[in-house]
Amino acid sequence: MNNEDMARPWEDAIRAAVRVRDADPGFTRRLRGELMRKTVKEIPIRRKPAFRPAWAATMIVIAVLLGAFLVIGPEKVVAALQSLFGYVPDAGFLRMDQPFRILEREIKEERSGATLYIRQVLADGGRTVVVYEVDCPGPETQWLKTSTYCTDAPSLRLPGGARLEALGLSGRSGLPYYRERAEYAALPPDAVSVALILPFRAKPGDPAWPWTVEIPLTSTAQSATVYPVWEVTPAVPAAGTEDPLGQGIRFTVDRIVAMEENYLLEGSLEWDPARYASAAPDYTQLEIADGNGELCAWEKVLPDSVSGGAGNWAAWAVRFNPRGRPGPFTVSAKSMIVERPASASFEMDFGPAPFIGQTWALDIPIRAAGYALRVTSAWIDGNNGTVFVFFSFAGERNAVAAGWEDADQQTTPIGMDGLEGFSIFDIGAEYGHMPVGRHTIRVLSIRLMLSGEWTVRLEGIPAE
Amino acid sequence: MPRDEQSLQFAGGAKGKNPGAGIRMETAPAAEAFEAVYDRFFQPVYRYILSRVRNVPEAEDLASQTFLTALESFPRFREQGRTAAWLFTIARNKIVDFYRQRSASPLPDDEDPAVFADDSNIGWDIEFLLSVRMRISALPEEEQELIRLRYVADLSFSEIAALLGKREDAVKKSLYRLIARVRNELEDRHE
Repeated sequence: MNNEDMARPWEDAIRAAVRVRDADPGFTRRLRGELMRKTVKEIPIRRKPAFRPAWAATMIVIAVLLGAFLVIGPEKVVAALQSLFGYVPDAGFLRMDQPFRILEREIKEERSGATLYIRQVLADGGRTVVVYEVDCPGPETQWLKTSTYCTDAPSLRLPGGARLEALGLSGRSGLPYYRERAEYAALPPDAVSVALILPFRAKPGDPAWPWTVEIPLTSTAQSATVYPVWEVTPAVPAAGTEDPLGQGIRFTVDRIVAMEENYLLEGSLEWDPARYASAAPDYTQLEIADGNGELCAWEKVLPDSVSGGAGNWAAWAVRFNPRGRPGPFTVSAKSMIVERPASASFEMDFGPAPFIGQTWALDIPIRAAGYALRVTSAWIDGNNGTVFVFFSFAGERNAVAAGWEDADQQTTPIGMDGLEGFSIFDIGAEYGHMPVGRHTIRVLSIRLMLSGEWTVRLEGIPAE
Repeated sequence: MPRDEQSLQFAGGAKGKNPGAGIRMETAPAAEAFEAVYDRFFQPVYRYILSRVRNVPEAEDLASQTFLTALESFPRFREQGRTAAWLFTIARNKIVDFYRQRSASPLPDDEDPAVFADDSNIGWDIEFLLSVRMRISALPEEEQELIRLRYVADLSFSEIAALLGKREDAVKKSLYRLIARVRNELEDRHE
């Protein structure tokens, strides 16, 4: 028996002897909120309204270079053509060949201790985008404790009184401070203003009241920096690397925007719908390397999916600075996160009188989408009349999350606590009221981390 | 409209104008990546610090400082696969600063109930665990560090190797030899 074999029985004893307590959950959550708040506040919001013809001319020169030299893939040469779109940092793409409107000036309003910022509005013939930020009122722990927002999804009121409801929201909560990007249908062509109506609560549990902000719009680009967008056509990845392991995922770079401080790369994933319900790049495994193989710092940004298409597509976007670096640049995704539909179920007996804080140790094996999972525990959390049920799952190595619903009671999924790279995850759902007795829990999907190497080579990006 | 704070949402994927559909990975720049780092490493870093300073308020303060520093340097951190080494290096520096500032103050009592986890003692003979703990506390600092990183912070051998600048198999051999030595010494004492 070697040292390793002999040591094993003693490892548990040593672990028990030296183990210290975990941090207090309240402290952990508060610190997390503080840090996330800082990440949100550190997002550089372009505050210098400047559409500068001289800069635009420079961009055109760079873009011509780009158009002349851009090569995607070691063999396949493609062209980058100036598209019909312009790009407004942090807000998205804007069709420039049609009348458009943007925010005339940033707006800041304060009510009941909360602060609302309207950072940008883009309205073209296809859609309307509103970027806003909210700093919730009161002690921040008030909102951290509820893990919720002081606002709900806002609507837009048109000059005639008609309302547009948000088609989608994206953003990041760094509770109690957060930023959202709401997307709506197109405005009528003659609308020169619109009102944002934000359901707002001064305290958790309060009824929401409509915080209404009039937003003047302008049809000139004087109040924002709009960069030209270069479309990579055809959007193909490097030859032979689009699906290196035959895993049914195609990875491309579709657009490039050269900005003052850095470049935006936006691309897409297309997946085989027969194999996956959805897919997304694993940003923790994304690398951009220069011609010397040195890794470049990059930053994830919100992708802006302006293109229509079928249901097996997702966008990704990063910003990086190629200046001063030798090309060609290589973008490598070494892992993807995919979701596979599943149809498994297990029984959960909550008992006759479950209570908030109750936990159950479980050991229920299930098989979802061909993967072995074990349900290892369940617990109930909640406050202010809200009930959350969580299940802990332990799965195979590349399983990172699972989606579930209660077949016997309506549930709303809440976030995922699966950690990339780990096969233990907690998945919760909100219940309208306390579940009682036996329930059937359906596992609807499983999320997996797919290893591989999807590589796109970009040649000719001007470094200076 | 439900929003997904954790940024990933189960639904049918859809290309087009509804960012709420499909898997959502939208976030403020860098925020999601840092959030994942926090979620993965906060408790290990905290436990490691607590095992070094043995005082809950000090450990909370040092853990906060560690993650604040990490956040500030995160935009420059792109060493994939070395996250643990990066974070624990920051934590160790904070601990060094902490002891430098309070060099005259002794460590708190080893048996502070707020420090050691009692749930990990279940099923063990307490006196035996105390003898193990005492033996470990008498080891050279470098060996105690190995024990802390592996059994307090629960780092993998590759993470420990990256932090200590050693080869993974060398770390593994060192640890198992150390355990064998501790075991032999304790068994000798009990015989």
